[in-house]
Formats: sequence, structure tokens, C-alpha cells
Amino acid sequence: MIFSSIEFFVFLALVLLGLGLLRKEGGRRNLLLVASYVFYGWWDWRFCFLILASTLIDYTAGLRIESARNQTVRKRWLVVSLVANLGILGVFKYSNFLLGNFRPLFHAAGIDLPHLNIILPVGVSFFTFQTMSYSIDVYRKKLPATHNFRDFALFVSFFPQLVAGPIVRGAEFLPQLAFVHPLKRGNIHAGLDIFLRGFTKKVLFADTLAVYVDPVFSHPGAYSSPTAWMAVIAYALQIYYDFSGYSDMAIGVGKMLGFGLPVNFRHPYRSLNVTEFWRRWHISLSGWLRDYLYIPLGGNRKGTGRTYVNLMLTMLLGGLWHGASWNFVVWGGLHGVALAVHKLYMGLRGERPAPGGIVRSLLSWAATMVFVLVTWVFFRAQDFPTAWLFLKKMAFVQPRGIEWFYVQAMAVILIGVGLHIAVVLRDDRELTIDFGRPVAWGLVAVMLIVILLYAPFGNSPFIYFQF
Amino acid sequence: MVQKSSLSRTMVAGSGVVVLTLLVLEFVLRQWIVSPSATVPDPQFEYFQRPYSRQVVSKEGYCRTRMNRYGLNDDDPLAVKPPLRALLVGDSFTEAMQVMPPRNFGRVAESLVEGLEICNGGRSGWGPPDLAAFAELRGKLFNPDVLVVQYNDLDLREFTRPGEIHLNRSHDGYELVIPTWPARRSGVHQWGSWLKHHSALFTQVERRLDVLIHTERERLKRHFSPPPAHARENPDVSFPPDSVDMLVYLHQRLNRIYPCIIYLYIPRIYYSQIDGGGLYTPRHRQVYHEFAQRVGATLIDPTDSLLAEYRRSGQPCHGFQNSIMGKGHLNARGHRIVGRMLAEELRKRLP
Repeated sequence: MIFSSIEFFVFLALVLLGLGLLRKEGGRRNLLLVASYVFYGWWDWRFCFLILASTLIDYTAGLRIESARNQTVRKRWLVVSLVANLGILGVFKYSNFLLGNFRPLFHAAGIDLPHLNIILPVGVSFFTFQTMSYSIDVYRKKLPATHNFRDFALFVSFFPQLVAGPIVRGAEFLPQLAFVHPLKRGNIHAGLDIFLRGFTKKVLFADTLAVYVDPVFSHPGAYSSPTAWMAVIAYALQIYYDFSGYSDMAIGVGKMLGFGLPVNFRHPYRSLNVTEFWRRWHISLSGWLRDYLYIPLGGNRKGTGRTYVNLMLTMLLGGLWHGASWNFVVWGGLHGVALAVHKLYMGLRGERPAPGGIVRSLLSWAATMVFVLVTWVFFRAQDFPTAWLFLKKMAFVQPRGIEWFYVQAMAVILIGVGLHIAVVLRDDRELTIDFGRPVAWGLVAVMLIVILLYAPFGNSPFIYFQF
Repeated sequence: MVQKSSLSRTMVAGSGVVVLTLLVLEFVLRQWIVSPSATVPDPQFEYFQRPYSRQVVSKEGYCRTRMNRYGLNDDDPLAVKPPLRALLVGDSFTEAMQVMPPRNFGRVAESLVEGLEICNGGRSGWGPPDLAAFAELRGKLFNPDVLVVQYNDLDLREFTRPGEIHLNRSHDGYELVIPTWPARRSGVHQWGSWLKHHSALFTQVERRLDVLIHTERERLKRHFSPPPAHARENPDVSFPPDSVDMLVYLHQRLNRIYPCIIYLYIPRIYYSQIDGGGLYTPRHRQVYHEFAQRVGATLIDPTDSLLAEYRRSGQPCHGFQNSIMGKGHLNARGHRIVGRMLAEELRKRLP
């Protein structure tokens, strides 16, 4: 079920109605759990069993880790949880990738490796990371194990963030389950504001940009160099509006239901360097990789050389998390190199203050943006040859081709640039709608009419669903 | 009491803001983006545009035009008949509401041949049976010397559409069925129609809601009963196996009225896959060629010229900056090429 679909609105209305009618707190909890499974099962009911299996394993592992008397048993149960979650990821997401990589080798030896018909479960990377973080936190004694299976199942399957994040950690979510509040008008208004923001980002901005981006990335050789540049700029905004739009909608729905979910984006395209970009982009994943991968690998505590190795490993695996393809690994690797270079520069600069000046800031921003845009090519292109062809177009190696500057996409890019400038001027504060003021309703009316008039219909799924 | 008056003030102010916003939107849409609906009912062809109504269309390309006395995208036929008058019947490619009127292929051809007048009888959504019905029932109003029938490759799907003008297979061949559209509609429909005729915003909202409902219905249908894999790959390419026979039947009907008929085929092209042939549906092109050969009619096929132009300029002849470049209807470049080819063919028919 996609947040921007008709059936989701019906579903949400029914859930809100149910929560409003249910007097007993336990009933509200049950309703949320059932609703979450219905939400997931709407895509493919068979995969509800996969979530249930993951839930059972991590629930048991959490309890066993907590109750174990000695470290070996604790570690053993942690390994059980990690193997189970990474196993799910490995089987469903990476098995064909691995087989594909070994296929030529086996083929040379006369063995034909098959292509497995495996469906990638929606959101598998998100809920496995979420449950792994829970087991690790319990193991680290940062979080007590949850004894209530229903609460734990709700933590794993909570529908607003189940399929595309934000990746919520147990410490952030489980305490909120101490009491599931009835609906509150303030929460509904605040949630609606965030939800509408996300909805607009998705259906008006991201989907409009997709109309432009998809054909150009499918056949970059047919288009001119300026078109390739505009398409990659459009893609940068598309993926931002798509993913941050989903996150906003998730946070908004969570808020309506009375739950706080972590912020996932803080205007990443205003970043002046790559390190800042990663502090603003997909924050819940960056935080996860930092706390559960980079730091356990040693972080920056084991010498300069090892720091860079850790950084690269983290970013390569972060890239691979996005998809079973070398394109994503290259994308992660490039970001890893850029982070390492920036770290090196920061180390060389030492305690000296950063050089100021608007021109310098603009140059830093432009360099960061060009780097980010180039790396998005690897992220979006189907394969290496396509990415390479696209980069050649961007480098004006074969500049001739179809000149296409999709008017609607250009309008969205202009609006996007304007909104980013507004955010910089407002010091990162979002524009919010105060539903107590009449003008707010006028704005909402305009927004909905503009969406109705100009959104490309067709319910394109969120980009991050595939991850 | 205080709360109550504050609430009513909020509601009044809120409604005011909404109404003001809608008025601004109406003005902007009407001026530059879309006209209010100007259709008038027609018992045989469901509707036509209101005679002499002004139209702004910006869905794909951009067109500001004024309909003629028949509600078609053209000027009125000349009072004094020129040496050669052609009636051009076709679908949206002929109607050409994507380019400004002087740039559509009918006008381009007209401008290239002295003594030629082309009467545009194109309307969006028409398929071969509609074209035949229009030429038969209304064509004589134009008193043409030549009938030009424009087909596009997707037209072959339009032969059998119950409820609309279509062909029925009968024991001795085919039968052209022209259903009658009711003149008066229900009260609700009339209200909706009144609103559409007076508001560009309402017209556009209604069209978009139609699209939304259709898209959502199709999506939900697919969710609950996914189509077989082969249907997903080729949603548009199926056509009746006896398409050539059906085209022959329509030709024979029209040939009784119009001794001189020229056919014009407009292809869709995948410009990005030009090396693989580039044609959207090569089989459809074959059908039209086979048909023209069987009846011995002239078929203008601009496919090669359109492809050559793309190879020369790097720019496609279909699509616009506000739609997908390379897909959809002919742009001004495409109209120019088709217009030239049409002019060449019609020049031969000059007395």
C-alpha cells in the first residue's frame, strides 16, 4: 500500500476512526498491530510470515540475551539474531547478485548457475536493520529486552515506517509503547501538516520529475548534454523529494497516531561538504551505520589509516545496502573517498577556523553539488555502461541529441531551488501550516487543486521501496 | 459566545480565502492553460465543439485556436471553391490541437500548393469507423474533390467498440453501426455541463478526476487480478486479425461517394531505439500497406522522412517540451514534414 494511493487514505481513515472509537488502551495497541500487518500484507500477504519470523527470532534473542548469565550465551544469541537478519537479507536481496558475480567463473568450469526467482520483500532492508539494532542494543545493555510480544511485534511492523523508514531504534520507539494514547486534535493537526508536506513532495514534485528523469536515464545516448545535466539535477531533486516525502508522510502518520518518529532529512542539498551532506541525508541510516558498523569496526580510535579503512568499509556496505548491484557499491565507494578526503583536509586544517566568505561558501556548495550529482548517476543508471554513457554526455563528449527541457520538471526544479533558499534563509526551519488560521485552509485548497491538476497520476512507488 | 463568533469569523475568512484562490486559478487557467468546455451535443457523433468557440489547449504542446462553423479546428471553407478542395478526416493528429493552427500539416500543405484548400475534419479519439461515418454523413457539406483519410497505428484497435461507432461482423461481411446519442441528459448531467461550459477550472478538475478514477480503477484491477505477462509487455499492439478486411470494407463504402481517396498513415516512433528500427508497432504499418495495395489506393507513409529528419537534426518529430519529447503527437517539425508530403501528393491531383 502506497501512502499516496486511494486505498491508503481509506485505510488510514479506518485506522483513525478505530483508534478514536476504542476506549481500551490494549484495544488500540491490537488495532495498530493488525493494521500494520494488513498494510504490509496488502502488497503480498505471504511476506507477513517473513516479518513474523523475523519478529519471533529477535524477540526470543532479546529475551535470551538479557536473561543469559554468561557472555558466551549472550554473544551466541546475538549471533543468532544477526545471522537470521543478515540471512533474510542475503537470501532475498543478494543471492542473485552473488550468483551473478560467480556465474562466469562457474560457467568456465562447465557449471551453469541458475537465476533464482526470488521476490524482494518490500522494506526488507529497513525492518531487518531495525530488529538488528534492537538485538545489538540489548546485547550492549543500552536497552532492556521487551517482554511483551505484541509490543515488540508492533515495533517491528509499525506501518508508517515499515517499508521505507525512517529506521527507528528500539530505544526511540519502545518507550512510546508504554501507553498508546487516544487520538488528540493537536497531534492530528501537526501530523496532517507534515503528511501534506510529504504528500506534495511525492506526488507533485517527485512524480513530475520522474516523468523527465526516466526516459533520459533509460536512453542517455539519445539526449543532448544539457538535457543530461538537467536530468541529473532533476533526479537529485526527485530522489530527495521522493524519499524525504515518504519520510515526512511516515512521520506525519506516526504523529497523527500519537507516535514520534525521528527526522530523516535536514535539507541535504544546502550542504557545503560531503560530511555535512551525510549528516543531513537519510539520517536514520547514517546514524545506524555509524553506531552499528563504523564504531564497532574501531571508528577513529585505531589510528589514521584504520580510520580511513573503516570509513570506506562503512560507505561501501552502505552503498550495497541500497541495492544488490555494483553501481551502488561504486556510489558508496565514491562517497567514502570523498568523506576520507574531507576528513584528511579537516585533519590538515587542524584547529584553524574555517575560511569564511560567501564566494568561498558558494564554491564549496557548488563543488559538493557537482560531486553529489555525478555520484547520483551511478545510483540511478541501470548498469555501468549506461552510467558511463551518461557521464560522457555530462562531460560533453557526445553533446548532440534530443534537446528536452520538460517544462513541468523545470518548474519543479525552480520551486525546489526556491524552497532550498528559503530554508537557508530560515536557518533550517520548515515552513509549517497553522490550521488555526483561515489562510492555511486556502493554502491547503490551492495545494490540493494544484496536485489534482498537475500531478502525474499512476501511483509510482517510492524509490526507496526497492531497498 | 466569544468562541462561537471567533469560529464563524474563521470559517468566513477561510471560505473567503478559498473562493479568492479559486477565482485566481480560474482566471489563470482560462487565459493561458485551458478553455472551459465548449462542446455541443450531436446525435451521431456525440458532440462537436461549439461553432466559432475559442480554445486554448496546453496539455501537450500549445494551441490557441478558433473553431469553424462546424466546430472543427479550421477556418470556414472558402465561399468560392478553389481548383482543388480536399477534405481531411482523421484523429487527433489531424485535429492538431498541439500546435498553433498555421503549423498543422493541413495548413502547411495548403500553403505549399496554390489553388489547394484543405478542410480539416479531424477530431481527437476518432478511429476508422468514425472517420468513415463522418465522411459519409457530413463530408458532402465540404463538397471535396479529394478525400484524405488519416490513420495512425493505434487506430486498428478502434474497430470494435460497443456503444460507439463501430464495425459489426455480419454473415455477408461487415456493417457500420452508428448509435444515436440522446439529446437530453439527466438533470445532474446538465448541471455539470453548465458548470463545464462556464468554468475552465471545473472543466479541468473534471477531466483530471476522470483520469484519476480511471488510473486508480485500473491499478486496483491489476492489484487484485494481475494481467498475464504477455499482456503487460504489449498493452497497445493487439488489433483484430481481419483489420485489412475491415479497412477494405470502409474504403469500398467511401469509394462509392468519393472517387478519389488518399490515405495518410502517421506512425509513432521510438526515437531512442532508432537503431532497432524505431517503429512503435511495425506490424500496424504492414497492415496499412497491405490494405492500400489490395485496394490500389495511394498511401502516404512519412515514416522514413520522419526518421531521416531525426537522423539529420537529432530532434524528434513527435513530442513537446511540456510532454515527453519523442512520444505522443507530431510537433511542428513533424507537421512540416507530413504537410510537405501531403502537398506533393495533392499537387498531382490539381486539375
